[in-house]
Amino acid sequence: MAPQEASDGRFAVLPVRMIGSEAYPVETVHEIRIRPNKPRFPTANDGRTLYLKNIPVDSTEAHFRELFATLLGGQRQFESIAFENEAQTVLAVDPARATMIQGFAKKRKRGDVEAEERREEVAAQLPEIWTRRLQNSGSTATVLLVEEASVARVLKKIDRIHSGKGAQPIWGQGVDDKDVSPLSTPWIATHLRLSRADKLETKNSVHAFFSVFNRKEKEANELAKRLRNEPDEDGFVTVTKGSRNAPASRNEADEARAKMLQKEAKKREELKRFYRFQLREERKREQANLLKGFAAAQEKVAAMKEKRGKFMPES
Amino acid sequence: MESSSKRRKLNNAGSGLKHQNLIDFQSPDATRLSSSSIFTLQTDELLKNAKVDYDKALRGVDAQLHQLKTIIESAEPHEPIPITQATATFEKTHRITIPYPEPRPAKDAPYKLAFAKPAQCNVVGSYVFRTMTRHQARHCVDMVVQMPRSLFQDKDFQDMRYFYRRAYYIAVLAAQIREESGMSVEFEFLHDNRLLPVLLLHPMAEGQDQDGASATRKKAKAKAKDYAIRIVPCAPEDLFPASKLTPASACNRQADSDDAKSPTPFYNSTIKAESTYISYLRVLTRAKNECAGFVDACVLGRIWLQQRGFGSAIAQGGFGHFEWSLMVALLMQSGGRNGQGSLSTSLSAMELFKAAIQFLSDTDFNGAGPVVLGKAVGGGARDAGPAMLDPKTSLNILHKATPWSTALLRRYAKTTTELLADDAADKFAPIFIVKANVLAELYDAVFEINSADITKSASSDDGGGAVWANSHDIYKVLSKAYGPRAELVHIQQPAAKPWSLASKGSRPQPTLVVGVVFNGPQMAVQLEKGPPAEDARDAARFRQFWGDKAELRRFQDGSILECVDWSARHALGICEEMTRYVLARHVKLFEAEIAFYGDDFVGSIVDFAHTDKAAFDAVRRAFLAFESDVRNLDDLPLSIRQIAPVSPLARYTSITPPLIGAHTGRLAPVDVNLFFEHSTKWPENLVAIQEAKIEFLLDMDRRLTTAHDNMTTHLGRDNRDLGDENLAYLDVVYDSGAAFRVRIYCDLEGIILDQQVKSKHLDAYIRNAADDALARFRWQFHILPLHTTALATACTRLPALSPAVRLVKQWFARHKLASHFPDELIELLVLHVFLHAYPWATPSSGTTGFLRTLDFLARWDWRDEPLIIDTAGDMATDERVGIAKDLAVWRNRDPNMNHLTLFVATSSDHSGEAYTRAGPSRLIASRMTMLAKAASKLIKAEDYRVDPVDLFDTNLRDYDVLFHLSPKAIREVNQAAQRFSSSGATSSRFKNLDGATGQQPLPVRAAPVAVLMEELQRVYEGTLVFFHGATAAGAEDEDDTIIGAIWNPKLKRTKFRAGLPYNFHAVDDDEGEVEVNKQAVLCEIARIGGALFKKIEEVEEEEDEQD
Repeated sequence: MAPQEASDGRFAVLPVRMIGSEAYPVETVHEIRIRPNKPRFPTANDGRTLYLKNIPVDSTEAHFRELFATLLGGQRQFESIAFENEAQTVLAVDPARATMIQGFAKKRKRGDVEAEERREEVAAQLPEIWTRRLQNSGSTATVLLVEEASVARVLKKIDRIHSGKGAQPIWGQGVDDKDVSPLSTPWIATHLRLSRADKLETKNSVHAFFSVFNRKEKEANELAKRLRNEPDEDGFVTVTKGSRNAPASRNEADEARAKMLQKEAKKREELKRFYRFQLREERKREQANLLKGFAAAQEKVAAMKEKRGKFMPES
Repeated sequence: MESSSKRRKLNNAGSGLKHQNLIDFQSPDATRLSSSSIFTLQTDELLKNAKVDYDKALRGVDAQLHQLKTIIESAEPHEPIPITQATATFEKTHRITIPYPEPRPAKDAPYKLAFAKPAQCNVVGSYVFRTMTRHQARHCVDMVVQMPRSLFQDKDFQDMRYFYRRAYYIAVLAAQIREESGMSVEFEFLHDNRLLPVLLLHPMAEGQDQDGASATRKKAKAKAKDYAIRIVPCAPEDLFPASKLTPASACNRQADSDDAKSPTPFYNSTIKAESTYISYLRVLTRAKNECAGFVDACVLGRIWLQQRGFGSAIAQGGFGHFEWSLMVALLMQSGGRNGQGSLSTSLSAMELFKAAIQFLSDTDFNGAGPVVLGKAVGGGARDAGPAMLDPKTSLNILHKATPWSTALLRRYAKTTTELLADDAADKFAPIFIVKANVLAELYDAVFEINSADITKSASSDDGGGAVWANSHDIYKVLSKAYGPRAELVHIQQPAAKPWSLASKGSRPQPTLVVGVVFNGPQMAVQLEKGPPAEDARDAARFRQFWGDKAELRRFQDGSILECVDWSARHALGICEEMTRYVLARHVKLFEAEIAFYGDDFVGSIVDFAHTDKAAFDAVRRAFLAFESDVRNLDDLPLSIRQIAPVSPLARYTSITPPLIGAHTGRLAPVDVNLFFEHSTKWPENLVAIQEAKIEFLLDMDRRLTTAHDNMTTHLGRDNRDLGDENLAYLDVVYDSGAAFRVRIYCDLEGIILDQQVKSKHLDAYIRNAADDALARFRWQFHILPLHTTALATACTRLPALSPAVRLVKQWFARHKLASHFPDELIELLVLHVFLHAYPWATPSSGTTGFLRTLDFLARWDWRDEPLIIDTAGDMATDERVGIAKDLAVWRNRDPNMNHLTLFVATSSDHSGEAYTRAGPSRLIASRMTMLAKAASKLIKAEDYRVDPVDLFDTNLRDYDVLFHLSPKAIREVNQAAQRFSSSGATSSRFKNLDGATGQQPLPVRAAPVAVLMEELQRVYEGTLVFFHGATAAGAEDEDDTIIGAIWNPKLKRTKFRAGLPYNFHAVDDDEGEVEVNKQAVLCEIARIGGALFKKIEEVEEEEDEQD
């Protein structure tokens, strides 16, 4: 297995040794693919970021902190890691109209107000029911290192491992049990316990959620109202949902619609067998249907014939 | 003028008199036509297939028959010699044992035997009429040889004398044919009738005449097996007057020494039938000439009978092709008004067949008076058994049939009539293709009586032999014992085998197979109530029948009744106990001579108890109590529309019955949906709705716990992140042990999701996600409540459904398919088998229901056939056609069946995808079919002797990887999950120190293994397919301690891409290529499971490695 050049954006292969366990006493090599991160939308940190593909499913930050410590010879080079399926911290609540309207007008807020709101949103999260999340098999992560030079050092180190000068790192070696909550039985047991949610805590978070939600809804409404009244810089007034009058209730709208449909159906029904040509056409249609039905039956029998044994009484 | 004529026509059209020459498609008749046209086409195809190619299969028969005729006619006649002398000389010279019927003629018998040239030789039967089918067990050409009248005396009908003469005659023919023709000759009983030995010839085809190249001889040998010729001696017409042979005459005094007067109907009918061959040949020929469809109707009849195990032989019920065609012919020639036939000769084959089936289903051959095909002549006594009289010959055509075989025949005819009238069902396969006489699928209880006694002596012998007489006795005793408990008791008599000329006739096998069809729940009634004690005569009879078992009991209503109490608990056990008791008491058959089968289904596979129904009923009662508790809550913010249970526990279908209050260490909450009245107060946002639901649950919780102090509540979280779907539920646990898990329905949720699905502004992936969410929402809140109601109703209406569903679920679980098949889907499969039980009647026990479900699964071609289950019974033919078309569209769009493999539509869901949207995948469905086919084959091969354990035994070598779970670790997780929090009550090894002991267990979201499986499936979706037996609902983890898995067969070696969704490694030899890193994956799983796994085992299989 030849080492792969990483500098041109191709992946380098980092072999990680996996020590077997009691149930599966096999030692094997897991391959993580690494390359310098090149996102579609560049950010300031790209130079010191590594993109990882095919990380183990039980990856945690502690695991990678140790892994990079062995690669770089020290913990301090490693800053953070972001996993692909990590839960979004931003609360995805948008009152009915907020999304649509937010596109039109950027709102500016004072920093402290914003911070306060962020805190509220975090409080609105329901209590976590997993102590540790598994990564999907073959998923990705981005590792942020302290300095840009480390990236090159990592890739160089991988080269050395391939040429046999360095030892393959061992997965999970040196990880402190305190940093990582365990998998296996305690993991499932704790999950099941957490699934029986604490009522008070849940209640608080639900209340927090609704205060955020109501605030956002209010903001959205106000924004809509403002947009309705104020022409923008080109002099246009944005048409938004919800007029000055209260919206008709959904019930009434449904009823009216049903009534209309009924009326239409009645009208159609009345004109159905009215003209002679309609009768004639109907008759023709029926005849055609009959023929079609027969042809379909024949086809079905032919299809059955092709499958063997359909016409053979079982014995 | 012209305009007025137009006006008139229009008016006519309006008043419904329109176009009479055309078929009206709106009428139900028209739709029936389209479904019947396919049946007719299929039948035509079947007939085409079934016809024997006589030139090929029976080549040279005509020449051989001619040759035989000459040989027979060349036999040398001789003058009468005394019987003893004739026998001795003949047996000595020819080394042939004359096949005299038992008892053989006495040494001092005074009469003489002679031989003379036959009056005529004639070929009769299906060869002449060309009604043989390719699927017959053997092709037999019958040639009757009419013995001349001169051989007989007037009183020969008495005392077996006719049969002795006949036996001598056939022996002489045998000697002659053996010498002259070079065919192999054997004796055989005609239709197992021990009075009628006939000759069975196996012609050696032409191969032998040519001097012997071995190849041709081999060919000839193979050919020789194809058909046989039977030489059947018969009596001249009207040899004996009919008045001497009425069913009441006693003609066989010799056999019946103690009571000379007892009538011998079987003996009489046999003699009568001997002189009818030629006249019936005429009747059939006339029918064939008069009616074009007659021959085909006979072929259809033959196939129908054959698939149900019927034949002319006594062992096959005594109603075969000959009886069928004779019945149809006689119905065509007589029986109607003014001497006309009751069937028109212009009917087509299909119509004749239907008419015959209708006749069989409407006629009770065991009724008080005999059934007469035509005009009844004279009164006269009736046969003891079934009777269908031909008035011309006054012969009982059913003389070989038994009361039980005709009862079974009628049952089959009834189900077939029902099927023919059922628009919804596929008619062709159940009527002609499916083999119906698999005893295990037909009867609820099957047992063998194996005793040499039944072949030896009988209390009364009317000529049919000891087995015949004993079977009748056993039948009488059993049907009296079962009474209304059994719908049908059937006894299969052993078939007689051919035997060689030199040996004495074969003794019949001493084995009777008895099948019983239960009458629903009646068989499980433990206390048999007899007549009241005051009714002295009946009480005495009851005591006489039941012997010591009978006892007097006083009941709550003051009545004092004779009773019999059975100690067994379930239907099969009671049946066995009763059978053993009455057979020992009345027929002297004891323990070892009776062998019951199928017990294991009840015992070891699923733990059935007689209290199961009560346990399920208790859940339903507890639910009603819960419902009233919730409904009685004061001023809830919204009013409650409906509270619906959605759990198998509430519809009689969980494998283990719910045990409320029993300390199993685990709660099984009943899932319940709570529907509020429509309200405009819900927020118009999916996430907010979910949060609002939690608020509602907490609010309800507060009110419930304030109002009632006999319950504890827990708020539970579904395993989902905050999003569009349901987040939480409320567990309500009563002190009694009943537990309910409440989820709230919000109608707005469905509307918003629906809008998202239909919205054109949203991105495709959002719409797809919304579509999935909507499907899950509908499943939980629309389909499940309806399904639960439908199944609960069906289970009360069909008592065998619940045990059958539980057996089938267990089958899926044992084969580790349960995690892929939702409970509800399995329930529907079984329900389908119950609603469309054809060719049988609705199953009346769990075992038959289970076996027939396997049979159905083996047969179901899910690629082309939708499964339509009309739970409400209101589906129109158009709708069915529409559903079938939908399936065709699906298959066209997705020929590889990546999405919807099984297409299951019900009355509440015509789309066909509600039950199977989330799986099983094609791989799993194929595995199900494969397993069902193997099981079905085993059942066909071993029938009632099949060991249930074999059906439930799964082959672990089929998987790539086996994860052996540690039951100890699972128990630990369970215990740990029960605790309030990690710092709460301490657990201890010792039960008395454990804080949790004695308290009610806490509800958990799901079983630990289910949680593990959920996570593994999510993480390794696309890499591994996992198989495990425990479903999410109700099943115990300890039942199945092995998770099987196979590597996704689609994962091939491929070029590296950054988007590969699985754990891969580079393959050594080729740089750019990667494949699944199996060992690393297993290592990961080992780390995830930790102590939960005892061992992870890779199954070595060469072929799979290469794939």
